[in-house]
Amino acid sequence: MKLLNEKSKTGSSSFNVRLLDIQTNIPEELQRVDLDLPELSEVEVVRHYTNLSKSNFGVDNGPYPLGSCTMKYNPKINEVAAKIPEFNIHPLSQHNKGALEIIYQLQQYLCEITGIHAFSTQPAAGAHGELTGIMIMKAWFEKRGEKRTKVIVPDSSHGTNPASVSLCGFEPVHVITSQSGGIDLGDLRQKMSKDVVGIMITNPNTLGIFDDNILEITKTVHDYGGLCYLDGANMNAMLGVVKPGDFGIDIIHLNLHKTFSTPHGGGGPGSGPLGVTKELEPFLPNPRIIKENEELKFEQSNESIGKVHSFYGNFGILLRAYSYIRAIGTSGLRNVAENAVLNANYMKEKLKGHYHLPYDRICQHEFVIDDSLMPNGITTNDIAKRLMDFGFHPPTIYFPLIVKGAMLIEPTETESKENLDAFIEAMKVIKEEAEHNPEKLTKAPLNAPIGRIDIVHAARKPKLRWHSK
Amino acid sequence: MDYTPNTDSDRESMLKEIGVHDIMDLFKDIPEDLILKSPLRIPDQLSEFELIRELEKISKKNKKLLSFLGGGNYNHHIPSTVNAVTSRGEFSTAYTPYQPEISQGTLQAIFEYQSMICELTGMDVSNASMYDGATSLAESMILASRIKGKKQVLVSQAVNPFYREVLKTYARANEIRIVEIDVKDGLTSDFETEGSSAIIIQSPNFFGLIENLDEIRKKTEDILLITSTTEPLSWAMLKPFSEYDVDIVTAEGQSFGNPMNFGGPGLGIIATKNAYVRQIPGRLAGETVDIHGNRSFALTLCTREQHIRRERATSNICTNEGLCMLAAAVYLVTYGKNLRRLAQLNNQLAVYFAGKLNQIEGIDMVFDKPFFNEFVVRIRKDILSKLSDIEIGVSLENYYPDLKDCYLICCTEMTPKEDIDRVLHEITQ
Repeated sequence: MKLLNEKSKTGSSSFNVRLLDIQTNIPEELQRVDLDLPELSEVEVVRHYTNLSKSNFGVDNGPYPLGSCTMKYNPKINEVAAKIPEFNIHPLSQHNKGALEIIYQLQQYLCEITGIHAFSTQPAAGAHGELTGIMIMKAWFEKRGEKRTKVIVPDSSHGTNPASVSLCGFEPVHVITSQSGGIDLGDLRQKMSKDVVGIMITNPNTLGIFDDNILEITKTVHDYGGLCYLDGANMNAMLGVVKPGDFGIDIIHLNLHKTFSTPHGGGGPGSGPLGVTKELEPFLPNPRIIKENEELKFEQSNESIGKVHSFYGNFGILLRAYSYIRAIGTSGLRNVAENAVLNANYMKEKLKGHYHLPYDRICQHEFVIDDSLMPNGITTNDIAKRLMDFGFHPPTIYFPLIVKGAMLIEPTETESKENLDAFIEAMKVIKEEAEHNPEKLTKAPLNAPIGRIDIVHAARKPKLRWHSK
Repeated sequence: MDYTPNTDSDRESMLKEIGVHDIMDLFKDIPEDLILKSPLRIPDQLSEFELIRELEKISKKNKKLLSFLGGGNYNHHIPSTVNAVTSRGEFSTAYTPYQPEISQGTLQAIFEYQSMICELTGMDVSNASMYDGATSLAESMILASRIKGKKQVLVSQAVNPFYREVLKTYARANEIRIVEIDVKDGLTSDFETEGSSAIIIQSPNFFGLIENLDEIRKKTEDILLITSTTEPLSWAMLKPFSEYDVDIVTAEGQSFGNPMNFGGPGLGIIATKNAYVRQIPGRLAGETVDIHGNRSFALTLCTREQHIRRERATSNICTNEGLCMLAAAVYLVTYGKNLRRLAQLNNQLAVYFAGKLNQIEGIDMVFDKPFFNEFVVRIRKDILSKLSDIEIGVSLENYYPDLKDCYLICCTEMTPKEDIDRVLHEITQ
């Protein structure tokens, strides 16, 4: 499709602004000469983006079993809630009690759901929550006068985990995954020392397995004075069933744009609230939003790591998550976890025999298959591209890194049995095609808006903006 | 409400296929003692109409007054085209475009956004967004110390105080030393560059004033010049930063089509020179071709990013502010060249208000320098008490103790001349 700049026609924009008869105070030498933004009539702007949207695939278009991303249905009521005019206030307004109430109440709900003492909603995304959490670990040991340098990260972890660790000047140390799919306890014990700041765990992990040694793992780390961080990306499987605070977690971030149904927006905005134990509460980002004598207010702590966001985080997203929690309530939360886990196990059982399961055991909300049984050199990438032709978004591919040719499948609780069956059927057809008609796979997608894309070409000679000829 | 479509009989037949009797059999890896025995202490579900009623009731506890608040978050009109586009589920419910064949909409929108940010700033390359203005500035600080290999940066005290707090937080974690530069008559004063990797200047600065970037660049040939802007509408009127040879441009893009929303989500803008393209954090969309040779778009230079490079990535950022970026793109193209006129109108209203206020006994302009749409006045206490139903501006004395009784006043197209005249009338009557 043509670019905005290619459609631009001088003088066609009708979005007029009437000026006043007032001289500017800005000297001419500070002003720009021209502004070469594209010019389109309003109808052409709307058509441009409407047509672009037709070459996009969202949860509203079809099932999106993208592992580790929890692409569940985003209830439309959340969008209505987020557009209530009185919530759209300036962050420095003094008349903010409604906004503070939403944030405070949401903090309380997240504490109850996770069993963690206190939350800050300032981090704007999961990785931002991780970074904030590692900063708190750093501040904690600084206060105790201990110089620790290493953070333990499982080899199955999200890439953001080690990246957050090194962004705080710590060294990530990888622990290996055992044959059953959990953290290898022997390896963990060997790598523990008084030099270890703590561990970043994902549980259920990125293989979709709840680590049955979790209590032993957190105890091992605590025995050395280390802190246990939980990457809460997979909280969806635990809602109302189990609380991370009960298995020894000291710090946790949640992804409101995963578990709490706020839309991913094609890559954000998200929200990554961070929760901590009572001991770590004074280190949370400033300002906190607290209740004192029935009055909601901002509070600053001297021990805080400081601010991590211009204001108080992504309030618009917090509002949507609040709306979701209130809509489904306590029974709905548990229902989410149960159905997410049921759907994943059902899919896994039905794909067994057709695809290789590197960890063949009960899973939580997601599971991993790989391409090792595929004939004719068909790869995970081919399968992913072919799934598009059947009306599905592919699963997460080539992650976790510890499974060669991994496909991480997370159906979520908002898919019906009919949709799961259709996906399973498509996967079986693809397996057949790999055997008898491999070209269909290597050339896939065949029905997508465009053919398979040359990613290498994009990186070889990066063209990152439009240029006039 | 309940968004799970499985019926009881679906659940039953699925459990049978799996070969278990009870749903709790699927949670058997969780140590038994940990399984919750009682429901979460959260109220039970609501219908849509009950929920909306509750939310509206809470929202009324906020109060919307005539407001001249700015200082990093701005009340601008959002063209009707913006919501029409961003509320399309194909955009709003999609993930990061890792599968380009079914994400061309998002990818082309990013590419076009990058192009428009480059046009506004004059820079070579823009990424697809960061969290907000403060964090894009903080990540630029880290980027600069990595490029230059020196763990010290200069930061003007005329940079937004909230941004400086975020810089301190990130600096502490990275063991970077921040040296703050004093403000003189509202502008960044003298400094020494030795030992530093970069200097951070905001323009228009926190007081709304346009910094003298020509002078600053002359004194900083050996270090990187990083700028921050909280009101990028000013870019439509002012000389692009490339003309001052700025190395990294950062900004808060909320003004472009995103509501105030109590301060978030915002839109972190970051743009730089080609020389640093492989160093910048976050996502980049690039042009490529599909197997038929058709032009298409894909995320590119991903080896900078955490999902490939893990601990050696240029940043840990993953999810950014995609939909806010889309809003900004639609905003910019809706206005097109008229964005300059919108900037001029904002400037005119501020010039008008400042001029009128300055004539009032007991109110003084604090700085006599060119500003864009924000300016600082000192207001005598008895005058202030007449303005109880107006949010006149951001009180500055909490951040700058010597600016006692001073307020940062912001004008936009949402504070038209009639509103300004009403305030003037209330003060003078």
